Amino acid sequence: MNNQPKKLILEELDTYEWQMWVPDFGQVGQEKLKNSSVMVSRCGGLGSVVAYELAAAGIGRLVLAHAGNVKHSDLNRQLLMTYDWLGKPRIESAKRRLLELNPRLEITTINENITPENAPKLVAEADLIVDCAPLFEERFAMNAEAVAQRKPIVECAMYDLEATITSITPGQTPCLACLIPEPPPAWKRQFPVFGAVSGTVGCMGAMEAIKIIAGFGKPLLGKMVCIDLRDMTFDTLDLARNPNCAVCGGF
Amino acid sequence: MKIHVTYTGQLKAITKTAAETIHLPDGENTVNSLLFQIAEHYGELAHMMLVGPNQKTHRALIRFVNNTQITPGANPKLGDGDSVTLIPPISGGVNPKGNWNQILTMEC
Repeated sequence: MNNQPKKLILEELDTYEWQMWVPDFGQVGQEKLKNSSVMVSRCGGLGSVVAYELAAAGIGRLVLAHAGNVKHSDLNRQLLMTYDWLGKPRIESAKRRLLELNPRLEITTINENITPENAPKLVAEADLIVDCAPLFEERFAMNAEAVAQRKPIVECAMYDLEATITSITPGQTPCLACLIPEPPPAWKRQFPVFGAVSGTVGCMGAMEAIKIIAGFGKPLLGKMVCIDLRDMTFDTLDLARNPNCAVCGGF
Repeated sequence: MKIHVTYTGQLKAITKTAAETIHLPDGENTVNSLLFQIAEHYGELAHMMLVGPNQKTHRALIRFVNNTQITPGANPKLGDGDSVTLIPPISGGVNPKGNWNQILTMEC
């Protein structure tokens, strides 16, 4: 088995020329992306954009989990879904659109949402997780498994014109359960959303993943950015680990 | 005692304000006593967001005092002029039945 890092081919050197001009990233960062894998939990309003930006940036492999078929109500924000794919599996639409952009991309898909049963295998297949799931049950399952496997997580969430984003290094920064030890009350299935809001956070989540993988910039480790696009406020808050956290408190 | 409170997410929608100054009675006040006062002032929805059925404040509320996060369950004392930021966790939905078979294929 050949474990040597893959080098960039000529086509990739052309494709990524402009981003390799980014200070501290360069060709070394690009090769790290090519040799890395990211698991995106749900390819909805957030995850579609995360996956698309990572595909555009030249990530080597994506692991995607998303159940269900494309509906009209997906099309205001789930940018990997298309009108001509209505009624057909979302995960197939996502894969098709990503390969149109980047045919070199390796993609592993599962037509399911995250559960405690499928999380271990999916997390094991990736170097980093971007959690874009709408349900706290899925987020908690993903967090527990990623912490157990010591995989970094980028947590993105949005509501209305607001969003939050933080990055987690298990054992070093607060994990999701440190912040939210139990499901919050009063949440509803329906929620107000513009694609431009989920897309904003999706782009930020993709950038966090790129920074963590390539090892440059300052990821939001132990910090949470709270965004309100209604008045364009961006606040960065310091987070604290919970020493009694049921998920990561033991290490 | 004056406390500067900032709301986000659903709390901002319920209180219809992003920030306000709340007057607490003189004497010893804590984050929990502030949350109970907010819940009482803004009624049923705020109460549901902040206080659980056991009449304790919800642990699933990210709280900051003077821009420093306090861990879930902690209840520090407040001083005059302190600022408190309350962030209800946001996400895209909830599974009302908590059934993993339903979540596995849920089309939301």
